[in-house]
Amino acid sequence: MIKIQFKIRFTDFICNIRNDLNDKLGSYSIYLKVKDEFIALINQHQGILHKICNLYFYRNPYKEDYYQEMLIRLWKAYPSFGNQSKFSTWLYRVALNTAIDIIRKQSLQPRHAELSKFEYNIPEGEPGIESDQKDKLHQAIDQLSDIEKAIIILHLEEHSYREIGEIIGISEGNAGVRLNRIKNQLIKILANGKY
Amino acid sequence: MENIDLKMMWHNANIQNLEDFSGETKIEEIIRMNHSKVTAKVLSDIKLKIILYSTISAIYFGLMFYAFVYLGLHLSLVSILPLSVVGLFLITQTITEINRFLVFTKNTDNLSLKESVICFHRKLNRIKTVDFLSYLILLYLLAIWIIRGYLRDIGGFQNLSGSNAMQTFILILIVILFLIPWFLKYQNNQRYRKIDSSLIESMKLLNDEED
Repeated sequence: MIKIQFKIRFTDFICNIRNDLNDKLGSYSIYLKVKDEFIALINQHQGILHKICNLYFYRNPYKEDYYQEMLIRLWKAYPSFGNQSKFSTWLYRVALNTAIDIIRKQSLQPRHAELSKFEYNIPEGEPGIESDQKDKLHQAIDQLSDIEKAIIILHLEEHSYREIGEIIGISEGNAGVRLNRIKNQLIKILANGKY
Repeated sequence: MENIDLKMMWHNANIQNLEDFSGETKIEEIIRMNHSKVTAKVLSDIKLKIILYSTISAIYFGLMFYAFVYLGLHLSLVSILPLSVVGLFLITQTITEINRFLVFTKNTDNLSLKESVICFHRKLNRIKTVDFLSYLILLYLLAIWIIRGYLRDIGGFQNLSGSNAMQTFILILIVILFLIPWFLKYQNNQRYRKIDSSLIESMKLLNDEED
C-alpha cells in the first residue's frame, strides 16, 4: 500500500516537473520569438534612433552610450507595444521620451558621472567631416527646447499633425499651431544666428 | 519654400550623420544589458552610497541604542551634540540617495511626451518636498531634544538666566536648526530652478489651447 502511494506521488512529482519544464520551454521559445521580432523591427527602423540621437546628443561624447540606453529601454517597453499604433509611432514616442529623460536626469545629478576616455574608448574628433550646413542646422535646433525639438523632428520626418499630436499628447490642431511657431522660430535662428 | 529648405537641410544632415554611425550595432548584445555604461555607472554609484550610508547608520544607531537604552548611559548635552549631528547627517544622506535612486530607476517611456513632462514635474516636486520635510522633521526634533537635554542639565526652566554664555550659544544653535530647513528649501529651489522652469515652460507649451 505504502509502495503504491509512493509510486503515485513520485509519478505526480515527475509530471509536475515535466509540466513546469514545458511551460518554461514554451515561454522561452515565445521570448526568443519576441526578441527576434524586436531585433528585426529595430534593424528596419534603426535610422530613426540615430536621428533622435543626433538631434539631442549631437557632438556629445556619450552619444553611442545614449543610443544603447534607448535600445535597452525600447526593449524593456516592447511588451507594452500592442499594435494599436504603427511601430514607428511607438518607437518615436519611447525613443523621444528616453532621450528627454536622459537629459533631465543628467541635470538632477550633482555632477555628471564621467568615464575616462580610456574606460569608454572615445574616438578623437575628426575635423573636416562635418559640413557647415549640418553644424548650422544642429546649432539652430539646439536652441529649441526638448519638446520643440521633438515636434520639429516629427515634422521633418514627414509625420502628419495627427501622428505628432498622438506622440506628443496634444490635439491635432494644437500640433499644427505649435509646429508653425517652431518652424518660424527655427528659420529665424538659421537666418540670424539666434532667435 | 522655407519649409522645403528645412526638410532638405535635415535630409542632407542626416545622410552624413548616418554615415558617422558606421559601426554595426549588435542589438542582441545591447538588449541583454540592464543599462548602458554611463547609466549603469550612475546607478551603481548611487547604490553604493545607499549601502554605505545605511550600513553606517545601522551600526551607528545600533551602538547608540545599546549605549543609551541598554546600558542607560547619561551624557551631558555637549557630548550628545556631535553624536546627534553625525546621526542626522547619516539619515539625511540615506534619504537623499534613496530618493535619487527612485527617480533614476522610474521611467515613463510609454506615455505621451506631455504626460511624461507632467510625471517628471510631479517627481521633481516630490523630491523637493521629501528633502524639505526630512530635514525639517529631523532638525526640529534635534532642536527639541537639545532644549530638553539642556533644561534637564540645568535643572528646569526656573534656572534659566539671560546672562549665561552657554545659554546664548544654545539659543543661537536652536535658531540655526530652525532656519536650516528653510535655507535648504531655498537652496533646493535654486538647484532645480533651471530644470523646473524648463518643465513649466514645456507644460505651458503643451497646455496652451490653439491660439
